[in-house]
Formats: sequence, structure tokens, C-alpha cells
Amino acid sequence: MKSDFAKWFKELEVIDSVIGVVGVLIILGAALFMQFFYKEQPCPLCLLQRAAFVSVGLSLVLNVRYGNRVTHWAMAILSACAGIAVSIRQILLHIASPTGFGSAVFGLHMYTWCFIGFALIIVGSTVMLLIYPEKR
Amino acid sequence: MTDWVVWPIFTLQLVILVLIFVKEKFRIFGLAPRIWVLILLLVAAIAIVISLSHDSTTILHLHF
Repeated sequence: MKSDFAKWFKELEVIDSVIGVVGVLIILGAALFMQFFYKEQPCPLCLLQRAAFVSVGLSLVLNVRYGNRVTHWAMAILSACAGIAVSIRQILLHIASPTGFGSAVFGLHMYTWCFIGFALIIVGSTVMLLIYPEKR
Repeated sequence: MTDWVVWPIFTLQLVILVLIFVKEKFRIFGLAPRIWVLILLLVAAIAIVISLSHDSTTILHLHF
């Protein structure tokens, strides 16, 4: 019974990274969908946010390839911090504008959604660091 | 505004993606591919942060 639980827990380790990678792919796919189907050309800051999402995704792929390590989750957090800095910069650039930059999705602009996404990644990765002990 | 202006970061990330799937025993300048991936991801994060000064309505000039 105990070994079953250990096996399930080990599988779960990979599954949450896979869920994270799928989430990042959905976010990047939505950005490309907005770009090509709604003709929303990305600005430089939007591209930097995409680059940060790609970095987060690559950090999670590292977890899938090599197993859960503290350094991988830490790199995901660092990449999300870089991305959140860019999204905060863009939010502050347009904070006084009544229309904002680009079209809104569910009432929020893309850069605000990016901020929420990066914040969730930071919180999620920190929780993972709490749950999974470092392998020796 | 075209997409190609951020090619250095995206190219670096493409290299990282390739390095992730290199065999674990393989060494590049004495370092394991996993260590290289972590170093390059850190470089990408720094590159993103030092490009923060740009406006969302101007063309990107990455500070490398």
C-alpha cells in the first residue's frame, strides 16, 4: 500500500510539471491566436512576456526530463519574475489610458492577464518547492 | 513592428530546448547539459529584465 502511494506520488511529480507545460502552451497558443486571427500585432513588451513564458515552459520541461529539482522550480520562479516585471511595466505605461493597449479579453487586457499568469506560476512553483523535497 | 527583433532570446531558447534532450552523459566544456540549460535560462531571464526600458509603442532594441 505504501509503495503504491509512493509510486502514485512519483507519477504526480511529473504530472504537475506536464500540466504546467500544457498551461504555458495554451497561453502562448492564445497569444498567437489573437495575433493571427484578430490581427493584434504584438508590441516589444508583449514579445518579452512571451519569451518569459517560454522560459517558464522550458524550466518545467527540465522537470519532466530530469525529475523534480529545486533548481528547476527556482528557474521557473526567476523566469516568471522577469515576465512579471515586464507586465507590470506595461500595466503602468497604460494605467492612465482610458482604453489601454490592444483589445480586452474578458474585461482585462493581455498584459494584465500575463501579470495574473506569472503570479500564479510564482505561487504554484513555490508550493511545489514546499511539497517536493530535494532528491539526494 | 515585426517579431524578429527579439530573435536573440528566442534563438537562445531554441538552443536550450535542444540541450534539454541531449544525453545526460554528454559534456560541453566539462559541464552537464542540465547545468548549461540552467545557465542559459538565467541569461535569458537577465536579457528580458535589461530590455524593460522599452515602450510598448516603440521598436525593440535589445541591450546586449
